[in-house]
Amino acid sequence: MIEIAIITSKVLKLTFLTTGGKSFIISVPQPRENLTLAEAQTVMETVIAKNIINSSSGELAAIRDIRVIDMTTNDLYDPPVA
Amino acid sequence: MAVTEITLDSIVSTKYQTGTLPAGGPVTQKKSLNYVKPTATSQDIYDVVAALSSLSQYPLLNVVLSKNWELTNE
Repeated sequence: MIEIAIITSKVLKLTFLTTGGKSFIISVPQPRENLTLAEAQTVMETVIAKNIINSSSGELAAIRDIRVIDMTTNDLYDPPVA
Repeated sequence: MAVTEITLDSIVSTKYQTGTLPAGGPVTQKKSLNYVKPTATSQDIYDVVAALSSLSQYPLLNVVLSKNWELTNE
């Protein structure tokens, strides 16, 4: 008997541009279904305004990219439960 | 000979609840944010974490700030 468990998970990747010209990514697990671009932008602007990050290439300066990555996992095998 | 402290970057660890166990306990997932300035205030750090978690479906359970110091003997 083959039972395939399909697991889906999503990750929101917020990419910032640092003062040193490099990318700094903050990922958020399982973003809300009704998430809008404006909400994500507002949060990124808050993160930039609070200015609490100092990465190896400097502070966060601007928004570079916002993407939601959807992953589907087909779990083919699980060890039998004893 | 006196030891001096140098503040290094802090790390903020956040714990999200991703589900519930059959027994009722929470299933959690940890997410950490590195390169936090040692001079950042707790209020600002919490505000950033709260803003980020507002984008997620998962409820935020706790926020832990780990501060690091380097000790040098001069």
